Amino acid sequence: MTRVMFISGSPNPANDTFVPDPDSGEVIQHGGTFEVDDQALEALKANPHTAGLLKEVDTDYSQMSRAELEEHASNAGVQDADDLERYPTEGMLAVAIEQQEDQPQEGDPAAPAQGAPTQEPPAGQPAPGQPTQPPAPAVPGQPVPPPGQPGPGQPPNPDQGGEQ
Amino acid sequence: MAAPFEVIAAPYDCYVAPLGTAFPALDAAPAVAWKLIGTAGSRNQTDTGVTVTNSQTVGEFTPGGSTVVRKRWRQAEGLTVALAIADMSVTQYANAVDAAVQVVAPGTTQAGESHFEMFRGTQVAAYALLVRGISPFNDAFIAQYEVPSVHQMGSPAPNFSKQNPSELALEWHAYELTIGNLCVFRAQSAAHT
Repeated sequence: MTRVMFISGSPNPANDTFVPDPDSGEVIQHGGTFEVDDQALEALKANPHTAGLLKEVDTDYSQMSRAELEEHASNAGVQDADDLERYPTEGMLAVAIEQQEDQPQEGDPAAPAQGAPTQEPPAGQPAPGQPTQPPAPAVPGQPVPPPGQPGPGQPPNPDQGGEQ
Repeated sequence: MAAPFEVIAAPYDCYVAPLGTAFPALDAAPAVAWKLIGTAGSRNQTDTGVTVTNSQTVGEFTPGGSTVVRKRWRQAEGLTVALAIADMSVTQYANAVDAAVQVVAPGTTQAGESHFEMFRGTQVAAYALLVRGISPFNDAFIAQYEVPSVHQMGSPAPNFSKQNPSELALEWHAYELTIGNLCVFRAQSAAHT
């Protein structure tokens, strides 16, 4: 059996739910976990509508109290784990713990290159952030970024810990 | 695009996240808590793009002894972010109406499905909003609006026809959750040193 966490894709996930097996009727809250056998897990992972909402985890967070969760979250590096406005439910805290563990570490070359506008240049034109010629100085006296400098979604230092 | 960089003609992406979520650094990707509006971001936006409006109401005093205004004062101000997306995915539709989604995996007696209830009740969900695109300093850089607290005040009215794709009209209105902070516009001017 494998323990799986439901992680909603919604920006307001506190009340989102998942029914892994409608025959059993079990309802899992955002951040809640359930156990499935290998066959059921394969079926859930093969379904594109459910695969992205599920994460295999080792911990059953439902056994922890809020205080234990906050301590666990702080130890995992989650900021402001005791902020009830930011983490109004235990499930949101459990998700934060799991996502914190998935965060790319500093210098990790696998850091995702998200954040750039989703526009795509017309065929034959450079992508945003990769001008055909060196860009002019943004401010007089400011050095011109060198050719080939990474674009907005490709920071030169892939430091994912750069939250403000 | 080339200079002048301050002339911006490009779409911006919108992200929403639970209230209190930290805004990403300009040269870092948004954290996973930030959910893109439109499954493919600006590629799901209609061509009118994203409109950021600073609104205000200003009172005026024209004294009896003159025909000219002698004093003005701001009575109200606000910030709205509006766009429409051609995206009827359950996640995006539910987000547009502040609804909680239930995802049901397929079973032996029931097909897989996702659904949400449109009844909302009195509580209005609050979010943090991030609007992100190219910088007016250099289009290799990022600029972003950081709105710490918004409500979705739009009235989505998707129309189903063969003439146009169905759209969800979204309009976020900022409110003052943190005293003195409505929205910050931040534009990158240089790379990391």
